Amino acid sequence: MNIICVKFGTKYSSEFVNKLFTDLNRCDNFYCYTDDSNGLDKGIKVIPDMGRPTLKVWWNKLRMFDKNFPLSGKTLFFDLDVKVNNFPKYLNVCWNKITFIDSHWKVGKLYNRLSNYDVKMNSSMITWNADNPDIHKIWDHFNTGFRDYYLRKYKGIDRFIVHEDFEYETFSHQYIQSKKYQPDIDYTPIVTTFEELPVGIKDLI
Amino acid sequence: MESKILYRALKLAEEVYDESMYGVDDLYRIKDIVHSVDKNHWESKKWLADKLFELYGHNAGKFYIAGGWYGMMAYQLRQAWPEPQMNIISADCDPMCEEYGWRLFDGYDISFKTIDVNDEQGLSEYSGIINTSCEHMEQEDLISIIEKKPKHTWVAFQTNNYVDLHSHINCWPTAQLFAESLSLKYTAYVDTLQMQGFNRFMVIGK
Repeated sequence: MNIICVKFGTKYSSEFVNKLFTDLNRCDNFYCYTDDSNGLDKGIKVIPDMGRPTLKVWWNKLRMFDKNFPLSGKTLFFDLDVKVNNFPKYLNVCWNKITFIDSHWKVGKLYNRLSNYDVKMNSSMITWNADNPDIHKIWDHFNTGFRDYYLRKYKGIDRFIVHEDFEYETFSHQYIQSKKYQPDIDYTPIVTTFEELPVGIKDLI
Repeated sequence: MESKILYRALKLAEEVYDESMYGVDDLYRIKDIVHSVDKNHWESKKWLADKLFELYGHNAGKFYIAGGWYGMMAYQLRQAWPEPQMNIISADCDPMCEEYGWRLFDGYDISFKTIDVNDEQGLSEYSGIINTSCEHMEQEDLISIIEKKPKHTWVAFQTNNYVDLHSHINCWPTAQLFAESLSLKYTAYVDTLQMQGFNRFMVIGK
């Protein structure tokens, strides 16, 4: 299984990538797709910026679904603002589909307003099979004449994927903790996500 | 601002809403259409049309607008060149721009087409190439336009320094640096228009 993170821009330093790499026991197939590999641990396999189309920050995550992206088979992605707590030997997911975090903690009328395009999933952790042509359709769909429109319409890839009607699965709730919305839980999640919170490297230790 | 255009934008917004109830659900188009007739866009595109008119020196020709969006740039050029001897083509890779462009600017003798400027077979027939969406386009595509155009074809390009939007992939800090990046053989005009919170830069030349 490949494990990958994406680092573009200056919001997260190489320290965050190295921390994730260490937390995952410096596994052999750890990749970082980045525009700046300075400071990355030597055991990390770097996938350099694939160039056009130029994308900013998290929109570069969509490139992982390009059929030309240099990964094959089962792939697990983590955002750089997640803390890995307890990585299991076996992940109970459907690899033939793309799987995201179920943001089941998002409740209230605001999330259901038609005009705000908010979604009840997030892409802090994703699994998919990189050889699946259905996954490549996400990147292909993004790169139509509508690409610039999508960049204006959606704040990020989560909203793009949901509102452009791609099918997805979600992880077991026991896999995930939202630090913001679930500060106290009675299980040990695989990851704690700091989505919607300011995060420093010390928060992830 | 011309009230007829603003009224048409309102009617389009109503149609987009109606369509969202039973057909294509794309409410964001309402915001996008309203944005396209915003005072900022009206003024910055009029700025280009007025300056290009001063420099161009003819009442005939054929203008190609790359990244023409819903047609505000084409409309401002038509205001400066009202005679039919000036052909005005507004092109955009988003097919909805063609559909809504025809509706917003019906009666202004503007042609709309859906095409990516990189897929244009030739730019040799145009006497002017206009692009006010340079901040949305790859720099190498701007250079490619300049390299492919005939020697005497005018170019009028605008970008800005508004880096906070994710769709703005080609912003520049100053008008002068933007002008230098284009390496035009002849630069006739370089200037800055101060907007609310950011600057818009324009370069006109050949």
